[in-house]
Amino acid sequence: MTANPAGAVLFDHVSFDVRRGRQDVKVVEDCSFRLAPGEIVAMIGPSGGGKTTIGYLLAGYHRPWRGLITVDGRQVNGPSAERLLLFQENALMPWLTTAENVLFGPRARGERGPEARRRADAILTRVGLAEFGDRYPSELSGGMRRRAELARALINEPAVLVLDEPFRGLDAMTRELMQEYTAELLAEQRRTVLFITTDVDEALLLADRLLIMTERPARVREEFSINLARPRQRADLLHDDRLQHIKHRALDLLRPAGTTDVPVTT
Amino acid sequence: MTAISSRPVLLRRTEKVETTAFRRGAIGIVIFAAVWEFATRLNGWVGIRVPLVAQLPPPSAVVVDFLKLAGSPGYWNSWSLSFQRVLAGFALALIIGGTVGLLMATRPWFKRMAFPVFECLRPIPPLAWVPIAIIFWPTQELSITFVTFLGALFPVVLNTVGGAEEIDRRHVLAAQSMGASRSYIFRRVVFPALLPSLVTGAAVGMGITWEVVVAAELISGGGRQSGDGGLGFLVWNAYEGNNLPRVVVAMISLGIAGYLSSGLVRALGNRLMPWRRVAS
Repeated sequence: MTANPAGAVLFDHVSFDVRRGRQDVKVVEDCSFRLAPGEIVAMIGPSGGGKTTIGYLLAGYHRPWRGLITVDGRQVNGPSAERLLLFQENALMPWLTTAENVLFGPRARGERGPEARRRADAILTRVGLAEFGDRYPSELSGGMRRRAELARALINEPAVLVLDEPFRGLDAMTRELMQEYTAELLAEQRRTVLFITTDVDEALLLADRLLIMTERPARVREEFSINLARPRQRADLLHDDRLQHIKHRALDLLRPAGTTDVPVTT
Repeated sequence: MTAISSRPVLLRRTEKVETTAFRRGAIGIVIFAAVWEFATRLNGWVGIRVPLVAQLPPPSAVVVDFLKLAGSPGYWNSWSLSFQRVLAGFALALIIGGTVGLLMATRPWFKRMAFPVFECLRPIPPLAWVPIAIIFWPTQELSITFVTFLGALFPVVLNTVGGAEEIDRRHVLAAQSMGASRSYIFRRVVFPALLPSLVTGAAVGMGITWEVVVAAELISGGGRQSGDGGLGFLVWNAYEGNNLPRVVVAMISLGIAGYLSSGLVRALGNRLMPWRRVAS
């Protein structure tokens, strides 16, 4: 492992099938894209379209059937702390306190002593959970759990972070707060982020680039660069004509084939 | 005011709730004893024979006989004997059942192979094993322990398999990503994830061991001296000696012993699972 992984991701003609009975179902087919180091890329597509599978491939939980996935030029081979994935719903370990959850990675790799504990405290403070280190996940609210999970991932200093619909299941208010919060946190951390979502507004708020995916089997259909400094304010997005144009174009692409959007004439 | 101060009670089990629970439990026992006493005395007072209950000795007679028994070392020896048999069978079931359950859960080929045999053995009542158990083992003590072990084995295996199948795969994946070794994942992820079902299996198994040990003691005929054969034997022995209050003393002793042991399993479980004591 290099001392300072940059986090350049390459998907090169990647395909992945799932065996259902006697049939192979193509989930990802001939999918290629790159993530530059430190770039936040939102992957938007219809649900059930294979985006999570792409996240799992990058995390090393699946092996591509064809094609190549590399990070910083090295082929992805199994799970690694260099590429961490945040699952769709809470995956904190319920038997560990919040602080123990955050410490899981360092402890698993054999770090003992107060050093790791200090880092965990610092990162818990950063995500606003300093007073909740001794609480169990069941005692935290949905938004707090998501922040604890971010902390559990970030303490391992991954070069690449995969966020798989991280705000799904949160109520509307918490969701907005968490979006702004994550935007801020990612602005101060230089990590390559693959941000999987179904929400175009969320993507516009957080990402440097959008990848619009096809329906299953997943492939990149079109991409848009956002070219706007981060972190952004929600209000800025509304008044930016170019972003509004991207939004409409993206929504058009995401609409299932055969349905058309007829504007109401006034 | 009360509404506000009672809110934390919903979130955390507090001292106050525990003492109230204790008091309610004690009241329940007192009411039970009072109704029982009243029902057995009614015949003598007004000539009404309460069906079934009228033939029972009243609790006061039971207490008198208990005080007599409490002085004899044989009675306490029965407690200790029954407890030893139960604990030995139970501990074996926990170790062997837990291991078999884990193997079945983690090795699909093993599960497919072992499951039919397991499912055929499971419905056999432990008591039907008694003749075989006597042939298997050189001493009566070992035979009884073996039958008790069989009683607890099946719930422990079933619950372990069930619990292992419900382990959240994402926890294992996340642990792998963070660099945990296989043994670290077993200790820190698989084992704690299994604990709740393991404790459930243990609690069910513990109940069954008591049922089995009593029946096994009845059949085995106990020891030579009265009181040497365990609490189950004590029931039978008192019945043959036509000492009805003593039958009831032995029954209540069994009840208390069972309650104590399942309470012990639960308390141990709660100790091992502090995260379960907080409400979600």
